[in-house]
Amino acid sequence: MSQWWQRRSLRARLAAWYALAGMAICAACLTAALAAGAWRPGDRPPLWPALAVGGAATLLLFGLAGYFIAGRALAPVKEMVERTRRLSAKSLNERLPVANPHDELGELATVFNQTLQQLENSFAELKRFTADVSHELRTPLTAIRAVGEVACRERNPAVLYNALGSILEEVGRMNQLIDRLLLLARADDDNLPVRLEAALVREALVEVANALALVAEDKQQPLELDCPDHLLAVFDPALLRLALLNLTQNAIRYSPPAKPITLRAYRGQDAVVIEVADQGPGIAPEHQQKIFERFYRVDKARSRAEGGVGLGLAIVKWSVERMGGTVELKSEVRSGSAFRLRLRPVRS
Amino acid sequence: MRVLIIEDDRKTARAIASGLEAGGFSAAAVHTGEEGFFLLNAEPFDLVVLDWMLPGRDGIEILRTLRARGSKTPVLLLTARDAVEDRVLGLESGADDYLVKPFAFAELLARIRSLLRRASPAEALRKTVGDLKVDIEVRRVWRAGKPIELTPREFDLLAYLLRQPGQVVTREMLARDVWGEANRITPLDNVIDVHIAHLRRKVDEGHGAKLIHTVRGVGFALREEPCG
Repeated sequence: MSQWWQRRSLRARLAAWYALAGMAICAACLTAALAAGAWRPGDRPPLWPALAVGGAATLLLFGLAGYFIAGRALAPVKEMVERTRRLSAKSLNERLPVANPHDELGELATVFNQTLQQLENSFAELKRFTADVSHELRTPLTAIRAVGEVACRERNPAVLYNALGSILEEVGRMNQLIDRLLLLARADDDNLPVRLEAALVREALVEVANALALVAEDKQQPLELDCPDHLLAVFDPALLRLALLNLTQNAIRYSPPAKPITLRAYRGQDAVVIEVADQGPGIAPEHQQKIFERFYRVDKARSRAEGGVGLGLAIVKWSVERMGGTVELKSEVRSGSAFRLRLRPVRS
Repeated sequence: MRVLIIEDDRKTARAIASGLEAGGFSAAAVHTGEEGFFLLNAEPFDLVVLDWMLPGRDGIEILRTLRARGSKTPVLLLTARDAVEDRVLGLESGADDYLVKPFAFAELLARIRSLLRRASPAEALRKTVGDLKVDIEVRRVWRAGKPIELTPREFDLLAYLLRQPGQVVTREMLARDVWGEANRITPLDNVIDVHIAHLRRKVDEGHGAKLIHTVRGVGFALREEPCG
């Protein structure tokens, strides 16, 4: 019985409940009349055939009214079902109609539309990303092909050797690109292990500064370190090193010789702040929002010539966020850029 | 030294075989697990380069059967899978080393040499290349009889190059073995280049014969004659 009941449509079930409610009202009226002494208990009530017909009519009337009202109320649901059925990956720009945003069904449609919007956005992002990846892979491939084809007609071993070297360089670049793409692809899974621990920030900064000391020295750029000895934060040392090496190398790469680079860390209000600041050309406001996006480059030709694949800052953002932190850019044209990481502090 | 290459991609197999032959090994290449297994039963080999993904019996299966039969021939597993679990599975199945595709041939060669060397006696503590003398134990270096001052990192770099005399080492190998960086993503190429430049200045400047060579697109080598 209960299974049979479950299989009826919501509209039919509501109609049945209405009819039942109608009968309950009739029964209540009769009971009240009996209590008021309209007839003697045990006797048949007067005009009972009319009462029986009236009861049946009430049952029918309430049932029909219920069926009608439920139909009206559920009409938007029916419409939503029809529209949703027509949705596919290609028509994600469609939206459900919101008849009345204040009632429950309106709320449902609104939430559903928001989900659709998110889906549409991520599909669009995926599309753009795929196009970007193809472009980024084609660039070295084009170089490899051109160099290879020209070298085929060459007989001079020195020139040939040079061509091979150039091909191998491009292969190396593709390799790096693929490694980084794989990292970011897996990063989206959130399944990569992170080893968060309370550790000394200064040690991490010193390690990065030491690794890059010679690189900075070659450009006569002082690498300045400003960090309290005992400052602790929650981070994964390997991930933080990855982020800081990327940021500091960028700072050295893109700021002019002799301009100092500062690695500064301090305890902020509710976070430990690490700042990598340069006195380079700065980044224009229109680029600042997008700079952490994959493959976004402020100066495409230059960045590629310096050996970049356009994923460094995307990796920085990912690695900092994996540690439960955030990264932001403060930059003004002509006065330099500062990347500010916020990590979880250690409660004392 | 005889090396068997079991790799289904013919181009890769041929390139590895001719590279190994140029490096003084004798190499045989087969393209399926069955052929490889047959050859291993028929002839003695000193080392096997084994691809993980093979048509028919895959690399891991071959490796397990080989080890189950008590074979101790060193096996270097090649694979495009670089997740940690894959690495563990490969090594647990009896591989002696594991190399992720695409690899630099220089690295393959270095790994093969190191696998074959494992059984041999410890390396000499004093080494010479041309007129460069290095004492690994006291960490001192002389060129043409004159001492050279190196930073610890520069010394480690030089010692690493010396350990593969005449062979090319890649930046990836240096990042992993000299800088101890496990993560291939960590950007150290620039850092390595600058250190090499400094080392080169200290070792080669003012001397007629250059010892530290850059092999474009591959890496660096320590040897008397230039390459190419």
